[in-house]
Amino acid sequence: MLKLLGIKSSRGTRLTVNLIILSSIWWYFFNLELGKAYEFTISAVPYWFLITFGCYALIKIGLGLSTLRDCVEESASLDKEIKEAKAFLSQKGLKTTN
Amino acid sequence: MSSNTVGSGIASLGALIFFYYSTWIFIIPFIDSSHWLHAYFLDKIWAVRIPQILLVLGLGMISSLLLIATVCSKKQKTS
Repeated sequence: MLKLLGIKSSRGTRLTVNLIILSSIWWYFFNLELGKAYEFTISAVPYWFLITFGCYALIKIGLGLSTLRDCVEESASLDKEIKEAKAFLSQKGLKTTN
Repeated sequence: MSSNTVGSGIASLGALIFFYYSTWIFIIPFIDSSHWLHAYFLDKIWAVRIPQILLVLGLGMISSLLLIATVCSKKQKTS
């Protein structure tokens, strides 16, 4: 994506500006009339962007899932803390569901 | 079914779809019809129709879910 031009702009403005610039580049090539094979590819580029975005999301999620570490001791200490907090609060008079 | 294997499976699926679709759009139209690669790909017009169908289905499902949600909340408000 285009870097900040040094002008302070919100995410939304930058997104719309990027979209307008990319669409105008695509529109220019779309009207260039190069030949039958190029015509198909250029007209299919927006769909390619969509699929690429979907694949990028899939890859990001998959990599994040695969590098997730199981923290056993932290989970055990968290359970212990939850038990202590429940005991303390029920002693003070808070009713819990279990 | 640990989360590690599921995660790498999802990531490789994403990579596979990306490379297959990119070849479909950017390489197949420019290769001779007698090349062996054409055997692995459908007719290139489907490379456009499949995303169109997916978009229509996806947007339709999302908008119908939104409609159902708003209608249900309105019914709860009035009744």
